[in-house]
Amino acid sequence: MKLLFRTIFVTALLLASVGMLHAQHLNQKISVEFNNVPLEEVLRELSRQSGILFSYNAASLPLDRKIVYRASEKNIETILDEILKPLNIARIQREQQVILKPSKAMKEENATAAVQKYTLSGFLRDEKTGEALIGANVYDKSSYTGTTTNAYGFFSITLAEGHYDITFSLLGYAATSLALNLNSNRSLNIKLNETGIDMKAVEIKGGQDEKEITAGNAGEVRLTAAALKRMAGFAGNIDVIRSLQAVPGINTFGDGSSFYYVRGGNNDQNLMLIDEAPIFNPAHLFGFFSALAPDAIKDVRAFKGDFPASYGGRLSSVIDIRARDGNINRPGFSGNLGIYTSDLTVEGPIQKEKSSFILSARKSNLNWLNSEEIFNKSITIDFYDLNAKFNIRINDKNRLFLTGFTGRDEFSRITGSSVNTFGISWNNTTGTIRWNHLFSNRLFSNTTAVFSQYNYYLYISREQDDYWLSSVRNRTLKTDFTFYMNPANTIRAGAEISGNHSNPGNVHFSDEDTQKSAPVIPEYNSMGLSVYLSNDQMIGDRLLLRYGLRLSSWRNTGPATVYFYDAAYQVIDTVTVSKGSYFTPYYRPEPRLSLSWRIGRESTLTAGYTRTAQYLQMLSNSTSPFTSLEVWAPSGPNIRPQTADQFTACFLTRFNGNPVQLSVETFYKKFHNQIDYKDHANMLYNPFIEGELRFGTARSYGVELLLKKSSGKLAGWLGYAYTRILKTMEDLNNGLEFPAIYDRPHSLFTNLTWKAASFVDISASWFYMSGSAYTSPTGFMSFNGYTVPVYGARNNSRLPDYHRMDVSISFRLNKPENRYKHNIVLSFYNLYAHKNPFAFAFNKIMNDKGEFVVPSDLDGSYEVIPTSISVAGLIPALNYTFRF
Amino acid sequence: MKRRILLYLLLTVSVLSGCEEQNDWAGNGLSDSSIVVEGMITSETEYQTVYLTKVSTIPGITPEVVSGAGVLVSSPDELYEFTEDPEQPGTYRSKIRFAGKQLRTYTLLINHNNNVITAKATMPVGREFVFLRYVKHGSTGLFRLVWVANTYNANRLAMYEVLLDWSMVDGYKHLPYEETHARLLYYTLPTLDVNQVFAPSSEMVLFPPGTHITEKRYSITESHAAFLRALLSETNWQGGLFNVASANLPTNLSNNARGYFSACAVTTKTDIARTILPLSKGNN
Repeated sequence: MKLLFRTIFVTALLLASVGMLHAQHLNQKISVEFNNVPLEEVLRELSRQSGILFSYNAASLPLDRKIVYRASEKNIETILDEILKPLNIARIQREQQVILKPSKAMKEENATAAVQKYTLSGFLRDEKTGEALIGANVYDKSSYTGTTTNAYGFFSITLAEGHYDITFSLLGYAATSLALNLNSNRSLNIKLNETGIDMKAVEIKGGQDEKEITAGNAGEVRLTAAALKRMAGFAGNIDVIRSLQAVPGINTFGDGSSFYYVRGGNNDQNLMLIDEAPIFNPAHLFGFFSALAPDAIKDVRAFKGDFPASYGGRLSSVIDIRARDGNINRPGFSGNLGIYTSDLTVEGPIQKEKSSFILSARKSNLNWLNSEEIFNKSITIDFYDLNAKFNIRINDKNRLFLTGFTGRDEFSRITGSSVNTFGISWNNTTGTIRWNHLFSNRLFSNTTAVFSQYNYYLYISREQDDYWLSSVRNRTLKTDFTFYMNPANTIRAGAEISGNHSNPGNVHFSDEDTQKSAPVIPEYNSMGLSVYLSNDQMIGDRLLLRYGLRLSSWRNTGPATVYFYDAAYQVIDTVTVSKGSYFTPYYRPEPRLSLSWRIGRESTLTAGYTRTAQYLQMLSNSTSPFTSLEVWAPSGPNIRPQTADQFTACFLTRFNGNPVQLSVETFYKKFHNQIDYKDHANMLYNPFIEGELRFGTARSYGVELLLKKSSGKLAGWLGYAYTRILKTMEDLNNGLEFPAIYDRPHSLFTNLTWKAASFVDISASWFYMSGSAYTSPTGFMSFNGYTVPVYGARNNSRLPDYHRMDVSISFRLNKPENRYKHNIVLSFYNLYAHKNPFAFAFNKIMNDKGEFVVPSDLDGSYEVIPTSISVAGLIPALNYTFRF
Repeated sequence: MKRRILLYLLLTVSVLSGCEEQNDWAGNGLSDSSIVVEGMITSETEYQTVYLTKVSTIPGITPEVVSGAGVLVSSPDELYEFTEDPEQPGTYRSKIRFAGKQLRTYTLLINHNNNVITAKATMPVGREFVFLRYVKHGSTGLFRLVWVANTYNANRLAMYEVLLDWSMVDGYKHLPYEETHARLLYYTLPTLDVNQVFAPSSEMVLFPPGTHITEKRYSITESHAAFLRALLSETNWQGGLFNVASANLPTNLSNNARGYFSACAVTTKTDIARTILPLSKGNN
């Protein structure tokens, strides 16, 4: 509107002054002095002094570009040339006016049929570490034609021959510009300097120029390592999942949980990738800590809608974590010493500028909990993770990355009333080999081989080595191509083949007789194949069309034992499939479409449609916030692939002159072939586990608001989401629709970071969510001495609302210029110690010590006391972090 | 050292404990009018019993009983009539003592205000079993049970009832009944559950030397085991950190009745708690 008004005003002024212009001459002499004055004001001043009228499209010129210029008694023509040419602005005189246009536009208008085009390509890296910079903007300042770097820091842009003022910018880095005459294909390696929080320039610049390029990616959230560090994690640790909780549309289960729910999707409908390898359980200590060592994280991209076609396999979200490559210029180390965990990262060049490594290790410090003296019980809590990455630049066209990750958790407990030590243990192991290859300066490819294994142990008796084990193993080979056809079209294509093996859980008993009588649960083998093609197409200078199609397929392979069920979920047939045979193939097209329309210079309106398919699902009827049961099963004869159709709309605007951004997103999502469970489903060690499943549909819808200030001493955001998720299962709840347990209609989040002093950073977050749905009793019955709840409709009540505040204060101990940087971080999780119940219990009595216990003596009456169970009160933490 | 322990204690209390507290749950205003049936035919020669009660709205209170019902139990060649105990309304006993027979199917028929409830149960074969184990509990001089039965066995499904009676032991003779008796139940089921493995802490029952211990093994069918698993899921295993979705118990009763009708072969062993311990392992 403002733009329209401005254009009309300029035009009106022009018409009113027609008669005057003849009297004006471009060779009249004037004196001017501009010191950091925006171009718009410069033109106004020149017009005022000379009487010349300028006509231009406000959207196509860099009117806020600051001009430093001085002229004394120079003619107007010279002044205009000296000011406008470096900005690639051309002028023509048409009768009574001077028309200003970007040089390129002018060239196009005047061009003859054939225009020679050249490609500018290269990599963008951190000046100090050599790390590839992801998602950085590369654009021509005058025409705002541009692109962004990909996950490997590569960019490519093809432009008509001419002079360009190319700017490279990324949030948290000082932007740099390069004037060049593009008359041949050019390859560049650009390095940007970090404007980190440790440096004197304490304000994190929001990159005023970026707004001109990014058309507003609906449903996408990006967190850099610097942004993560500024947020209050748990116990002084950077925490990806907890940080993403502060984004509207992403809810976690609650305290101590790594489960998260995106736009009504279940926890297993989220895909988490670390350097393209899937992580099946991204949690330590049931979810209190994320699985990746904080210093190993470089970049996080989370998609909650409008997924690019290159991503698939899950219905609701993709969290794409990129690990750091390691400092290619000089050796260094960093780490953290804390009460709960400690970690150390070592990195450096193997061959300077050619290859690097990074090794990160983290270990829990929680073994002091194993104290009968304090707890009258013995608890073992332990976890570690290791991350190793090697980055080898073979030559200008080839680069290799090797990544390995392993993490393990151990938890066991023995109580005063038991002789066996129970326990849970899980471990993730992944390995990735990636090969970047440049076929040309416009065709980039990445080929990845992934190995991923996840094991989950439930120890029935550690002494007797009796345990239940489930596992899932994945091997994937994929290749992705990006073709930067021209500034208006970026084509992506790729293919992926994966082999999956899943053990839904078998037991190992040390006692031979028990082992003999134990049934054997059939294991799953399956194979996925998918291809995709997409294009990001700019139509004019306002409309960005992203469209693509992913074709995915799935089939199971022998050897396998398949049970078939009747309508009552009873086994009616068993088929044994021999090795090498395929069965139950599925094919699903997954179209992706997104339309972004730029309104003026500050706002974008986006609408999108995404279909996703999921073939591998976690089967669990747990309502616990903790990792407790992990059975992964593929689609097959009894489990049809899950699919979801999501419609989104997003309005994104930035307030002119302010680093403040507002986004409003709305979505509607329909889920098909959704899984729920029969009452008291037997999900652990059950050969007929698929007979415990019930199928139906679900729908979710919501509105998400985000107000964000990304720079300044005080930065942060305020988010609100209204989301509903409702399920309909034919065989549950009498076929009536019911809310999912993670249905939390209202969510409110704030996150603030404040540079209180040059050496003090304070971060505070506050979270509020409606209580989750649960099934509350309508009465109680007595049976053989037990008091047993009787229930009505499923998920008919809500737990109390959830809210908590986290605060962290970081004190810098070093001088800014010192190479050894170290901080003390004091953090408080749940500062005001609000107890957020995740369950109610109706089966406890109070013993002589005032503890709530389950009654054992069932002879006679006892007073049952309803209780609420929550995870954590105030958790303080003190960490010492260092970096060299 | 003390400071360190205090610090650890504070931190740990923050993380792991103090997280369960009494809740002023006042119900959700709904009610349930169904009849709860608890009936078991055993292989012991006795007056067999069926209990009929109603669902109550508050946990732990004595439930309202169902009086005036007609109760019959039959097998292919026998019919037993049950009558309500006038001193214990809602309790229906067989008119004669009888013992259920193994592998025989019994049918329960209840008629209450023309509301007819039926159920069938087959009595599985009874089995021998290994007697329970107990150990001395610290320096109290008392005992506690440490093992009664393996919780998992796919073939030997059973419920174990342990009756403890120390009313005749010196020093306890004049105490009220509930302070000198205890009844505990244990199970061997064909299933494993996470909430079973990590069940919440349970009440510790201690008993003195000289306590009469009676252990009864009730053989159960697979469907009975499924009912008991659900029962435990809603009671003993509920309220820990690893809950599963709550739901009503399954039943073999018709006409919207709740509860279960079963037939169990019973094997019994008795002993007197002695100071010479049968097991040293786990003795603390």
